[in-house]
Amino acid sequence: MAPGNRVLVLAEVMGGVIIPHSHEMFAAGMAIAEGLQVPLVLGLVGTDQDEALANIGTLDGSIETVTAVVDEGEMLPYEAWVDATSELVRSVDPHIVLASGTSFGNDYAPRMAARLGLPMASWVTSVTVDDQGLVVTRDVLGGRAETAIRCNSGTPFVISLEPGTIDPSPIGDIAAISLSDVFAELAPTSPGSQSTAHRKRLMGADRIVSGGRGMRSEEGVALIEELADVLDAAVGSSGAAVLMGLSPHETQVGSSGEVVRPKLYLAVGLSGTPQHTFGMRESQFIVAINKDPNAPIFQLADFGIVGDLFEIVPALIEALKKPA
Amino acid sequence: MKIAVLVKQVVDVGSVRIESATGEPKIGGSPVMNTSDAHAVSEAIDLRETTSGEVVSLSVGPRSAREELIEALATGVDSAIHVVCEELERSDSLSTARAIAEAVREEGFDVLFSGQKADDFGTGQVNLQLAEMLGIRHLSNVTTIMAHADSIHVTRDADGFPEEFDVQTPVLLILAPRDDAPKRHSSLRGMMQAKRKPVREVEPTVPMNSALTWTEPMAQRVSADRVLLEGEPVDEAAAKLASWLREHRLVR
Ligand SMILES: Cc1cc2nc3c(=O)[nH]c(=O)nc-3n(C[C@H](O)[C@H](O)[C@H](O)COP(=O)(O)OP(=O)(O)OC[C@H]3O[C@@H](n4cnc5c(N)ncnc54)[C@H](O)[C@@H]3O)c2cc1C
Repeated sequence: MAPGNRVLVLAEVMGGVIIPHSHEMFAAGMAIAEGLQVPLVLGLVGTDQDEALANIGTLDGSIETVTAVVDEGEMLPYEAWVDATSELVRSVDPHIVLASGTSFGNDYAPRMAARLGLPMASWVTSVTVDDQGLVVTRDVLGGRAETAIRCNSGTPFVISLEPGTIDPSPIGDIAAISLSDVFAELAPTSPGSQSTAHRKRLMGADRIVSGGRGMRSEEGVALIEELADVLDAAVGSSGAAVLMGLSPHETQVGSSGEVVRPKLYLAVGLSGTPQHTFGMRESQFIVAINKDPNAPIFQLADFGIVGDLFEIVPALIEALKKPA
Repeated sequence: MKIAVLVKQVVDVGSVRIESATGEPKIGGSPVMNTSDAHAVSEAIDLRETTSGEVVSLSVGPRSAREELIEALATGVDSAIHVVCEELERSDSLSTARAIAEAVREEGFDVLFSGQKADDFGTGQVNLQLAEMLGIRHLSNVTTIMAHADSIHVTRDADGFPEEFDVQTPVLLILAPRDDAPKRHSSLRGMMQAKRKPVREVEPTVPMNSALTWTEPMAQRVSADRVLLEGEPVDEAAAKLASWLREHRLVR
């Protein structure tokens, strides 16, 4: 195979374990390699790769693995990574490099690209190959709009993915670690979780009312729960609401929560980030209440009200309680 | 101490309205200083106040970006370097970083400040790539900065865990995103003083271009029968939603 014609995934291996995001990178790498009909190279960068290799077991025969051991020494971790990955990219000489989009990846990948003199697209939310080559998309203008990016043919380029927006795939025998489990560990155990026992289950619910960061406090949560009761709906939440301790992780909708397809999805005080919409965009009817007229969730909505949830939701509850 | 702060002129993202039929974003207001850069300006001036020295603001951008440099001067920055480039929108992060690197290489800055990413295209690359090209370290997600006689004590947020560093200069400090308003802002008096402060305009000494091409920003087109109520009295909006839900048999 001629060099310069491969896809290289720079998987992050920490103490022998491949981090969850690398499974998303691997999925994207496979899709690109297949689309461009070029081989995929799995780079295992970090420490204790032997353990990772043993756990991977057998990979699809066309996938080559290479390793780069990171020796931090006196360096900051990202500095050692810029060194190790730059050298690996030079030796593999790929057409497309997938680097990590985690906060750690954001520390090393742009510097690596600069050292190699390669163009880079970061925060990528989708990858597709058409007859002119690879197209990636990413959000701009604070999530309000999107742009599609191509690279001049022949020039290699670096891509980093927005975490939680591309379906992860197993790597050999290593199953994709559920992001949901990772998120569950991050979430504080909230007092809210006790009150969920009597609530309707999210999965399979016909109607879901989800609250986001805009709920702000217990008071906001209570409003969302009351609206859900009136509609006989299950209660959902955004990742931000979970991390704030407002909602239990079991209620989280999105790429690291549940993927739902109710008849009605009523989104309140949540912006509609790609990680969230991943879990609800297939809903039959979407309603959004948000004070920001530009919130991306309004692009998916069939019915939207721009306004303060603390005013709209009580009025809606009243209106629903009144006989039609 | 010689301090630099990166400043970008961006569209006022808050003023962007999406045309629902086409998905085209319409930009309403005039350009503004990137939100996180305003914090960086504030922090840079704070550092100068405790260590003495000077703060220089740096920007690559069209002629109109001078406005944001003046804004920084009026907030308390001492001088500015403007790499004038009308094609910034068509240049990739590598060209932009190179243009700044070439313009400031001889300046010997001890500390550079920047925000995390720009409000408009937000690649989060130019600042780090500049550091790489200048051969200096960076620390990202910086939350607090304390200056001492021979070092700077910095706390950063590493995915929810605080990390502390005594950093040696030169270094680029990338501030963690924050929601509050910047501590310092321009004043009328600052504006008067800004007029006497030097702004050095330079041409980029590297080609400003891009190996990447990107499409005009587009939002998802919304369905023709979407209902969006804005500025309607609360009770009316709620009543309309209630009847819409009933009409679509979405209530029990
Ligand atoms: C790997 C990974 C996985 C993730 N997985 C998920 C996931 O599965 N699900 C998920 O949801 N997130 C997930 N996230 C988090 C995600 O990136 C966002 O942080 C999160 O979705 C934001 O939640 P939000 O919309 O509630 O908050 P924000 O984006 O902050 O939006 C809050 C919204 O509330 C509105 N608002 C505020 N006050 C009011 C008010 N008084 N009235 C009306 N509106 C108001 C604001 O206008 C704003 O639009 C993940 C992140 C990562 C990195």
